[in-house]
Amino acid sequence: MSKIFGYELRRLLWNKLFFGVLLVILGYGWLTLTGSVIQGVANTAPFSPWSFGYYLSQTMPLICLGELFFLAFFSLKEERLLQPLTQATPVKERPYMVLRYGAVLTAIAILCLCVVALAIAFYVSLFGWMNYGELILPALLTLIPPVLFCLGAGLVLSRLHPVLLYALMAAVLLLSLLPLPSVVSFSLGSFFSQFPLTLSTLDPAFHIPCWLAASKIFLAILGLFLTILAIGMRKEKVEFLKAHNVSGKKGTEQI
Amino acid sequence: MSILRQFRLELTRLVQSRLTWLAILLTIISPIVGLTVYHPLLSVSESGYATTMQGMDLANPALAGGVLGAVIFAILTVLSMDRLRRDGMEALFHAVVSPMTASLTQLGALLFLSVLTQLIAMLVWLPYTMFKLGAVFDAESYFLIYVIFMYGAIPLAILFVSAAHQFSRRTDVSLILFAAFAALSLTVWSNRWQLCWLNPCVLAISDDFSNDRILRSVAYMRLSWLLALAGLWCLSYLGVRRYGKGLFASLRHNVRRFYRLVLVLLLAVCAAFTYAKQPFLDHSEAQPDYNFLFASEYQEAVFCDFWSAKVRPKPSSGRLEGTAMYQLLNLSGEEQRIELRLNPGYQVQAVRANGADVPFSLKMREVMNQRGLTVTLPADENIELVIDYGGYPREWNSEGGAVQGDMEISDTYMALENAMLAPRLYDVLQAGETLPVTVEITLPDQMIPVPFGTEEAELLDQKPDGSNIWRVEGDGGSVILYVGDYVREDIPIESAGLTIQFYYARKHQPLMEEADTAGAIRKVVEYCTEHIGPLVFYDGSVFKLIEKRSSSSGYAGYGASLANEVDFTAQNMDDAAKGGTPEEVMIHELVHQWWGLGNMFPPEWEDGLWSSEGLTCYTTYRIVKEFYGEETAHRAYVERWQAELADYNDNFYVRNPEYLSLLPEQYQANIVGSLRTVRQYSEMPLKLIKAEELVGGEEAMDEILFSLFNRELDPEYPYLTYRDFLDACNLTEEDLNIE
Repeated sequence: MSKIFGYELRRLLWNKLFFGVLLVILGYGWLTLTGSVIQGVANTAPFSPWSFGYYLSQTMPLICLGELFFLAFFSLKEERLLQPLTQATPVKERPYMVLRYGAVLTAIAILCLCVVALAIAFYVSLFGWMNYGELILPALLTLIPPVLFCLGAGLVLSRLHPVLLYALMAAVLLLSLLPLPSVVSFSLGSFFSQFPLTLSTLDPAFHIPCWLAASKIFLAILGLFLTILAIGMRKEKVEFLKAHNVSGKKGTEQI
Repeated sequence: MSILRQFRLELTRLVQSRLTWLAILLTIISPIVGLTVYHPLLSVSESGYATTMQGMDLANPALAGGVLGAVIFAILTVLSMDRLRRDGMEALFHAVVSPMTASLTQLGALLFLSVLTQLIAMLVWLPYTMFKLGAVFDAESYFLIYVIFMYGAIPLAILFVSAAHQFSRRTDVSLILFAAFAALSLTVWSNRWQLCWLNPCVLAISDDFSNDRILRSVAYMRLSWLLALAGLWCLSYLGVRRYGKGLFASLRHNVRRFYRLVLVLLLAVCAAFTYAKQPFLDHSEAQPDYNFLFASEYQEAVFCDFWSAKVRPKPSSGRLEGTAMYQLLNLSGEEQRIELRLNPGYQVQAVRANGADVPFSLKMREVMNQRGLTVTLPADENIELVIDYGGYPREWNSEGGAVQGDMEISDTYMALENAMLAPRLYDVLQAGETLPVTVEITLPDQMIPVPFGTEEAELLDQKPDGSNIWRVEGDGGSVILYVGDYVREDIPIESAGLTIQFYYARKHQPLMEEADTAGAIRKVVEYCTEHIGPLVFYDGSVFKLIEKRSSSSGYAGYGASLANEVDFTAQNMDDAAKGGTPEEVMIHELVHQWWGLGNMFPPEWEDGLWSSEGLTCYTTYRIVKEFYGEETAHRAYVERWQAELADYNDNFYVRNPEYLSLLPEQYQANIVGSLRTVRQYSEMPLKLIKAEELVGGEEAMDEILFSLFNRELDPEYPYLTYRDFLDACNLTEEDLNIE
């Protein structure tokens, strides 16, 4: 199984889509760092957990879009046509799906690490700052719940119809850009830039209110639930004949 | 199949698609977003969105239409280009039509359709705009604003997405690249005028005067991008897949026709050239250097008796040509090198001393929108130095180009200020007590020049071609002229013993009369005269209030004050219920007639806390308090100042200045700039309010300010210092510390 996982991961990583997404995210991340983060978010240092969280919040929608594009990669017509072949192998459907989604998660983890590495390189080169431990909590809070949610929601929607993935992308962008309350907002940008200002101290230590922790835990659990649901759905829906008919029907239309 | 026939078929196919009609419909209605939620133009009011009428009902919808239209046509383009592959018809189709021809005709059809959509949109929105703008509407502005602001973005989006699709042959990759390209423009490039291709940097649009400069600037930016993206598209055209080959194999095949590659290179070079050689903004250094503007050491043996300039603005091109003459006295008996300052956009054609050409050089260094000119003078004692100069004036790049339009030269408005009007002597002192100056300017028939100061313009000659020559005589090293189709209304203020000459655009006359602007001005002047004192600085008991284009805020000087036209829009005039804030700029600039004239505050305090702005902001607050009530004034001024000061004091770099030195120069300059602005405009007024409490209230403070304003001036040092103020209040600096 590890060989199949390695193969699926290599298909995702050694792909112009991955490099395109990585390039766009790093480019946007760099502009965010040199544009707003360098000034210090909410009057804190540019290298504070709040500024770092803000930076991740700005890049997070692009990371989620990248994740959804990776899922869309598995929904391409060519991929659907290949399904009869993969289903003909002795590998069981469900573990195979889990492996594939694991590969997507690994690719996203690599994207996230690149984004974090960019910020750390920026901090070290400009400020000589190296207290990385402070950055773990904002990174976990900012990245994991939306990534899990997009995985689950993307899988369920792509099972219903692949085009719905693009609708989800639009929804991710809207939920990130609209000025929604932090409890429902997809991006935590406004939380990181506003919440420290409501605290009575300057340079407050990083902490999150309970309601926000609860909402993010709920989002992560919802994402996991939807992922499990989608894996369950997959076995019932995909059938050799159906996939074959899809290609046959299209072929008839063309003629 | 011929290209034209294929183009017609492609267009027919597009028009028959329901998706195309949906895209057309959405693009046509997209300007509605600019009327409702998307307001890219700057608001001049704190209490609500306010800009000029053309800005509100024409520029905002056009800019919103540009953003949405570009997105809609990008999606239409990618779906249209992917159609053959999606339907599995690609191989069959390309057996009949060459992929290269198909690519070209697809692009042509989409561009043609976008032009058609734009024309329909302009026709649809015409009645609404005419109705809303009323007397302010003019067809040329309507056409240009819609074409440049809205349509300018759409072909760029089509070219970009089409190129991305030709490279990647993937809908998702093309869309994500377009999303990134659009996001860059909307976020990090939004204040960089040459890069924000989707949402151009437009601060304001004038109702009463022309908008030539900002329209040219946006059109130029879009032209640069058009060349760059056309180059990108041509490059992607070389990558159109042939005979089932991949990108690089197809590229090798397509590049055999050498002219295609030449075209790509030519477009790339043109794009780079237009980007680098833009004529609108200068290349001033980020850090201001006042020593570059004002010499600390002057020539010891060279003096100027008088100077004059003959200026010929070219309204059709926005350029200016002129000849300046300086009568100099060289007492050294040797050659001398003197320096002048002029606008960085101007070139010097010739410099002659007593009729003979003399060496000169234009410096590369540009600081605060000025550039140096060095001239070598002959050893003669009396020298008539003549300089022929001209060009397209460049504006200061201080905000990355986000603020443009100040240096308008058109047939309805010209702002000819200092070194933009004529080269200014830098290190040469005047020979006598004064430095007489004469400026002759040739203007179109309907325009009159208004000198910024106490000088008057005199009509010298009327030419057969309808142009007039005006003469302005004055005194000083530089001259400022505002030129326009102005109406002059004299407002006598009996209590102040002076008359205000109010110059405003003829186009705005009905609104001015209806809103009784003259009455509002009278109230402000009467208040200041009663509480601060009469304007004793003006011998003639006259000063001018001049309406200026809505590109930036106004300022005040000897005998004159500028007010932004936005202060006089119908929307602002009807907005008195908001508590006076919309008129803040007008009141503020008028108050500068009392606090802020050059001889009032020591120039060495320019970068510090004490400046004319503190007392001006405080007096503005008091006027608003008197007219609109304490609660309104407190909310609009005191609370804002407190919030700004608190935010500033909490700033990380203010608390930890050691980190400031680690930042790149540009960011350091921004932080230092904000330090100066907040201290002068927010901290100082708060200190003055504290002083008012400590001295016993408003009446006591008024008495102190009255006595300071009307004190006997020391001719050697006529400045009002912070020490003077503290002594008059019997307070120390520590007493006024803000907790």
